[in-house]
Amino acid sequence: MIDFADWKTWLVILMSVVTIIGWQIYNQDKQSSEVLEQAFRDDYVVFTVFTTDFEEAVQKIDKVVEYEFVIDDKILVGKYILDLKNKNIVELILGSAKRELVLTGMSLKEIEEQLEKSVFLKDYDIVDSQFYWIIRIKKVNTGSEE
Amino acid sequence: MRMEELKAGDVLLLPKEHVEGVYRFIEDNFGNRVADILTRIENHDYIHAELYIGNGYAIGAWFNGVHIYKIPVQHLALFHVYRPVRDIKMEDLKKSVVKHFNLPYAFDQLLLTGVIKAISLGTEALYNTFTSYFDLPSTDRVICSELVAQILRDCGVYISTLEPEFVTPDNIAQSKEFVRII
Repeated sequence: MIDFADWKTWLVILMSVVTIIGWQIYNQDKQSSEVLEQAFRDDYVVFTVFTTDFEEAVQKIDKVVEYEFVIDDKILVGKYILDLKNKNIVELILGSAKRELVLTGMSLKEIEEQLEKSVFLKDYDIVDSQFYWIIRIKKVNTGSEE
Repeated sequence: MRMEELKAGDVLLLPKEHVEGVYRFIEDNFGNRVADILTRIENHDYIHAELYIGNGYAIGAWFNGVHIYKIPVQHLALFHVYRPVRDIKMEDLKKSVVKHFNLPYAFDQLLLTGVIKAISLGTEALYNTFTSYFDLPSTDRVICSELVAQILRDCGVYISTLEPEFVTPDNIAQSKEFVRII
């Protein structure tokens, strides 16, 4: 137990606080303005769908807004077959209560490769209802805004 | 919680019970007495505030500065969401976010607010009286709830009669300018 009657205890506490604050002030990070542009760009829409089924996710998204969403190929991930050949997907996040796998700035082929070699789905319990997709899609038909 | 349910201008508040590990740590290492005193002084439901700015991004003042980040859904599940009752213009929000982006964290402000809280012993009237004595200039450094209060004020939402420097996450939750949606 810490002895609060001892002045040395308070000295250590004081020094620790000063050190932590000093270190934090020294470590003030500056972010690139790129993140600002990303946050405010208006040609993307984000959807979160809690399902293990990518096709179901796509259907739900289609119900929300009418954007073009083309599927033409298949990807095998473990025991699960994914259709995600939408040319307009600019970011795909597979998430669970424990972690997220973010696939962004990749070609569809690279996304395929990442999904295939990823341990994310292989050791993941697909039945877990916490599983979700976040899909960032480039707007194509802007006639029907949300 | 779905990302698309959020609206730019929504305030994300982190409830105290979601970080109760901190209190247990204090209790284990510093004893019941210190933990009890801290709990009494820190008579708050929320300990942190951030602002949703759209596209899955939030802005928050952390110890290493004001940052914009993409919110993981796991992270989102920890927060309560309060929505301003007034409409927020995206133009105003963007202008204010750009103004506050990358500001350093105001440690002195945090300490000052903490000291005033401590000597007010949790009394709101006393706290308001003390804060009225401090005419702090608009600083170039912010703490978490101050950042949210300043940005929302730029968008025409006034959280309370307190200056943004003294607005706490609880003030946001108690304000009539917001409704809790999640």
